[in-house]
Parts: sequence; structure tokens; C-alpha cells
Amino acid sequence: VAADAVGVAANSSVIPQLLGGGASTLASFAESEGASAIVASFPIPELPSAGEPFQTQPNHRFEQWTLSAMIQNEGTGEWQWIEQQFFRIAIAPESGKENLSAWGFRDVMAQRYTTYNFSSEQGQSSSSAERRAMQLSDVTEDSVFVNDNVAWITSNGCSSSISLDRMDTTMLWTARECPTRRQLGNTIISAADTDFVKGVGWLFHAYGQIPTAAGAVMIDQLEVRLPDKTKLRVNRSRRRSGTGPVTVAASLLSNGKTHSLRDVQWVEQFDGDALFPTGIRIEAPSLPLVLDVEMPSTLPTELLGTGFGIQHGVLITIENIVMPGIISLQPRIQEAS
Amino acid sequence: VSRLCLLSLCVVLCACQDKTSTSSTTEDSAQNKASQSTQWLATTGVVPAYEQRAGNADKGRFALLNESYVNCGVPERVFRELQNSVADERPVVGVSGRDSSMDGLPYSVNRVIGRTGTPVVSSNCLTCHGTELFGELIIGLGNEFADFTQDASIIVERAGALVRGVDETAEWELFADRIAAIAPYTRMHTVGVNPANNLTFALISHRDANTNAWLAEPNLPSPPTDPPPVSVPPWWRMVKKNALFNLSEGRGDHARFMLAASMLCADSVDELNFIDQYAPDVRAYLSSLTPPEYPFEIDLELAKHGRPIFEANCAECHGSYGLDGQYPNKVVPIEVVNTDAKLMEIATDEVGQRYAEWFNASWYGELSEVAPAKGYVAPPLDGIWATAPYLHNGSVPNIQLLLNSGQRPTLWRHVATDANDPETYDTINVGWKYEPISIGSITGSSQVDNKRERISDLNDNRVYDTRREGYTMSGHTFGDGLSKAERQAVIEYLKTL
Repeated sequence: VAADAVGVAANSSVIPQLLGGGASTLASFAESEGASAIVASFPIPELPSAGEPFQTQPNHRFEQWTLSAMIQNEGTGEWQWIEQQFFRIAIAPESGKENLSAWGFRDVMAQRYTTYNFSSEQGQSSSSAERRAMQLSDVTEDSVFVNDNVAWITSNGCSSSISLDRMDTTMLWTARECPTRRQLGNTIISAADTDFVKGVGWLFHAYGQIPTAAGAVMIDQLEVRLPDKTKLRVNRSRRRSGTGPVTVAASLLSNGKTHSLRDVQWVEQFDGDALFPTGIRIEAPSLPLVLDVEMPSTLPTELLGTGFGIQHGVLITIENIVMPGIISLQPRIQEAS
Repeated sequence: VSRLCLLSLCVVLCACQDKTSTSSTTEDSAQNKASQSTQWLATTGVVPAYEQRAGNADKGRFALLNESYVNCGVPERVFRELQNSVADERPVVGVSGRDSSMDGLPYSVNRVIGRTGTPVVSSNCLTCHGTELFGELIIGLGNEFADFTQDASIIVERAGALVRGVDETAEWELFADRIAAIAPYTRMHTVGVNPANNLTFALISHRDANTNAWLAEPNLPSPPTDPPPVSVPPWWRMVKKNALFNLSEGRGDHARFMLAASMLCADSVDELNFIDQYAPDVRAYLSSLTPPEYPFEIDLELAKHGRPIFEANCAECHGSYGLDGQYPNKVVPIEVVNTDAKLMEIATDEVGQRYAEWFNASWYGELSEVAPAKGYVAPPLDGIWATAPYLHNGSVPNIQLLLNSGQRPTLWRHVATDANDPETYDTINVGWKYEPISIGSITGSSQVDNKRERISDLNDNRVYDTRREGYTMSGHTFGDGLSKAERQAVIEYLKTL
């Protein structure tokens, strides 16, 4: 396994628990997926401290790391999409930390993990928020190692970008992305098998101000792998004032490239006065493609202090295939009384 | 940040594009008008000279790089925050002769004071009319790599997420509202070309002709949502040309035309009059510019051989060069040049006439006049090596193909993403390198399994598809009769201009 690989055999007793889902695993997926919990872990490679753009940004209170990868089981040839995300909001200044992690444990607010097998058309998603939700309340900080090099690939060949400079990201905060796909190879240990997989993936690192703390505009975002394994990302912007245009941008990410789509529509359904929709339809006529997004029956997993909710594993129907996606929503703008 | 530059800059480009000047005597432009229903149009043929207001070139350069002729934009704090985030990997290229308040800002933007007193950053003319060519900023060289393929409104709306406070929000909302109004009419299919003409029409439709006030709803028909593409011409042509723009529609006082750059933000005649005070200086500066010399080796013997061939085949329209050079200032009829007619058709149809009537009845028309001809100006060819791709719509990648119409690619992809790498410049054919694309790869299967490839090609904004309306590479067949050796000799000569 190469040093820059993702997901080596477990060398941390904690991370598998993180990924096991636990209390906040979405009920809908628990039902559809059964009990085949995936156990993956991340390496703590013997690498020098990660430089830009993957180094933790202590001057920014908000930070998000996302690894998106397509991997193939060498034995069966089956393709699988894996999306792993860590989300951090700095609550208090860090001090006196001696381990290699620049992330304060107290700052790791959420982790999410989604996988989808294209052959079996089955997906799974787990989502954990806050220390208690992560089932780590009984561990000490010293025993937790959220390494800077989690999912670390390389900084070579990567470029820096900001959201406003890329239609495909539209993240509100400073974002640094490795557009060059990296070859991945590793062992995935599931409840049933230990398989060797290989594939490609990229790392996305976003950081900056807490995007919803102020600002004149709110952003909603949806991501899903299409049946042809292309990733579709849809973003919507709304002015907090309720005036002005609601804009929708969508892009396909494939083969290390991004392609913007025109004229994408985003339509929502609400249940009464709920702040978050119960259903969303995305129409991309240039493909053409229609996505029906069914939100989980559980209450929106609003992240404390941020004002918005992120959910991995929302059910998305594409051409009669039901698969998990990821959606980040800000609450509905209340009409002025 | 670069996208934020592009959107307001595209406002600038419509006005700054292909501005020309002359110090010749005034003639009655009406003499050049046809009669009957096309009375408002100019005739093809020689364009008369128009008297220009005198200006100071040094003051004009300062004004261009410092003044508030586009006085709305993104709050400076937001702009700098975004810029600083990427400064380590995208060094800022500045320009000399600016106020210290603009330290650290790229050459393509000006810092100005908004209506609330909050400093904002707006694009200046150089976003389109400046290019880093092999590492050196060339003021006046059209940016043939600018990307107008995205929805400008989406970009600006997202900038709002970083806006804080009442004043910043007010500045941003004003700017965002204006961009939202014009965005549907300014999105191109491929990088490198821009929507200058369409943008001007969209802005006119939102302006009151008498007061120059911004109208939330347009009071004229909207331009097409698929803008005809325009390749950005270099400013150094100004010293020779009598009329502005591809159709010679910019007649009369050129400095006044340039103030169309202020149509996005300036909301009163008083504001325009203030800006107009230094507009002649800017015109004088633009007229003082000269093209960069060809930086690669030239076969001077071959170039010498090419000169008489050029003069026999090209000079009648494009002029002659050297100390005794003459530029004829000709508009070539569309039926003769036969290049893509879309740009001309839109400007000269009934809707185009309404835009022209608006302009001529407005403050702008006090000193200048819109009068397009049904043809295209044959431009002077000084520094032509640096201005690829060619034709008014940028549809032909290099001069070799410009002179051999049968070899032009139907589909081609830009290789370079900017003008800095000499390795991406084709010194044989003279132009930026490109990749021809087979038509089959674009129009492939619609099966789901092939969707990724199909989608990728269809959405590749680096591909120039000459089958699109307005994007065709037809016409200008005047070099087809040359032998290969003659053509190569002409190309070598053109490198010396």
C-alpha cells in the first residue's frame, strides 16, 4: 500500500467506532442496508507534516475535509463510491497540544461516511455529530488521534482555488482542492470480507469563516454519484433578505475535470412551516436528468451553532435507481410578517 | 476572484473594445448614410475621420488605472479576503502608476468608493484589454483566454455569502442586482470570446435615455440570450482607425463612446459628465500604445519575400506598413468578406436600430453616433501575431488557417490557458496552439454508459464549435489562392508588423 493510500488496516481503535455510525446512523439506511457495517480506517502515515493545501488552518474557525473516491474491488470488479467527511468548528483556542493532530478533539463536530455499490445498487451512510454522538464521551483526548494526514494524498500537483473561482465548488469559504486524481489502493475490511481495492479519489479541504454566521447569501448544496459514476454537484444560492435572484449552479465531476451545466432547476416541497424541505427535485435538462431527493424521516441534523444541516445518505432516485447522496441545506427563509 | 473581475470587467470591455481615434478633420457622417429604411446605417467602404477631443496620455493612463469609471462592485474587504486566500499560488500581478490604496490588487481592478462610502473593487478595462504575455503585462492586448462561459449572476450571488454589515450589503446588492439583470445575455459557449456587443445592448435596455437612470425592468427588447462572440481587438489599432468596433458603428467622439464602460453603475448624467472630464485623456493614452515585437526568430529574407505578396493581396483592405504605410479604413461588405454575419445582423436589424436610436438620443449621442455598416472593418495588422485567434469572432486559431480557409477545423480546443507559456505558441502557423477535434467525439452515443464521455465533451468550455450560430469560421478566403510558399512568406512578413 502506497504511502498516500487511503484506508489501511486499522491502527486506531477509535476510528472504526467513528465510522460505525452509532446512534445517528440514518434509520432509512439501516433498514435498506442491513447490518453490513463497513469498517474502514485511515492511516497515520509516516509523512512529514502536510503542507499547503492540506494543513489545518488554525486561523479559520470552520474547516471541512472531504475525501471522494471511486474504488474497484479487484476480485469482483465492482465499483464503489466512498465519501468521507470531517467537519470542524473551533470552539476554543487550542493550547498545549502535543500530539501531531492540529485539530483539537473538542473541535471535531461531525463525521459522515457514505458508500454506494454500483453493482448491488446498495448504499450505506453513517453520520455522527458531536463528541457524545460519536460515542467517544468515555475516551480521553489523548487516546483520540484525528490526524492531520487523514486521507492525506499529496500536495504535489494540487492547486489552490476558491469557491467563487470555480463553478463546481461554490463553497462559501476558502477551498483548496486537488484536481488531479490520485491512484488509491488499499484494503477494505467489511463484516464479510477483506478485499483489495484500487481506484481514484480526491481530497477537498474547505476552511474559513463559519459560512452561515452572517453573510448576505445562504448556500444549499447537493452531491450524488450518477449511475455512470460521474459526480453531480448542485448548488443553490439565496439572499438572506429574500430578495434578488435564486441561482442554481450544477457541475459534473469526472475524469478529474469539471463541467458546468446550464439551466438546472431546484424545486422543493415543504411540510407546513418546517425549516427544511421534505423533498427536492433537481432537473438538469441538458443531460437530461431528473433527481428526486427524499429527505430522511428523521429530523434534520442541524449542526449546532451553524444554522444549517448536512446529511449524508439522503435517498436520491435516479433513473429508477435509489442511492444515497449528500445534501447541505440552510433553513427556509421565513416570510416577513 | 478572477471571475469577479470578469463580470464587471465585461461591462468595461464593451465600451473599451476596439476603440480607435484619429486627429483628422470632421466630416458629416450623414454623407455615409444610406437612404430609405436603412437610413440610420452607414455604408460600407471607406470610413471618414472624426475630430477627437485632445487629451493627455499620461493623465489618461493614470485615470485608466485609478479612477472610478465603474463605481460599483464587490466590497474591497471581501475581494481582498478572497484574493489573499490564493495569493500564495496565484501571485498578484500589479501595475505601476497606481494609488497606494490599490497596493496588492491586480492590474485588472480598480478600488473605488461606493455610494455608502465603503470601498469596493470593480474591474477596469484591462481585465479584457490587458494580457500577461510571456510574463509581461501588455496593456491593450485583448485577453483571448478570459472565461465568460459561466453565469455571472451565480458567481456574484455567492460572493454575497462573505458580505457583512449594512453598508457592504448595500454595495454588494446594488452590484449583484445589476449583474443579475445582464447575466442572461452575457454567457458564452467557449472561453476566449466575449459578449461585448450583447452586454451593451442589455445595459441600454435598462437605462433611461434622458436621465441615464437605471431601470429595474428593461424598456427596450432584450438582446438574444446567445450572444454573438467577439474576439477582443488590441488597443494599439486606435491610432489608425476612424471608427470604433467591428462594424464601424462607433463614430464621432471616441472618448464619449468609451464611457459606455460606465453604463453598469453610473446612474445620472452628472456622474457621466464627471467621468467625461478625463475620458479624452484615456483616449489619448490608448492611442499612444504600440504593439509588442514578435519575440521569436524571424526569417527576414523570407519576410522580405512576403512583403510584395502581402501588398498585392492584402494591403488594399488592411493597409501597408513601414514609414510610408497607409491604412485605408475600410468596411468590407458582408457579401464580400463573407465571415459570420450574426454580429452584424443583430446590430443592424430592427432591434439593433432601437439600441442605436437610444444611444444617439442619449447623453452619449451628444458627441458620438452609432451607425453600423453591413460589413466588417478590415483592421490594421500591427502586432497581429499577438492577437490570435482570428476573425472578429475568434473562430480561426492561426494565420496559416486564416489564409487557407479549407483547412480550418470545425471543432478545436484551446491548448493554452493563458498567454504566458512560449511552448503553447505556434511559431510556424502563428497563433496559439490548438487541438482539432473530430466531430464524432462530440456527437457520440446518448446511451447512459457513454454519458460521461458525451457530457464531458459537450460541456468542455475550451472547445470552439464553429457550427454554432455566430461562431462560424467561414469567409475571408482571400488567401486561398496563394501557394504554400507564398502563404508562408506572407506569414513571415506579418511577424514583422
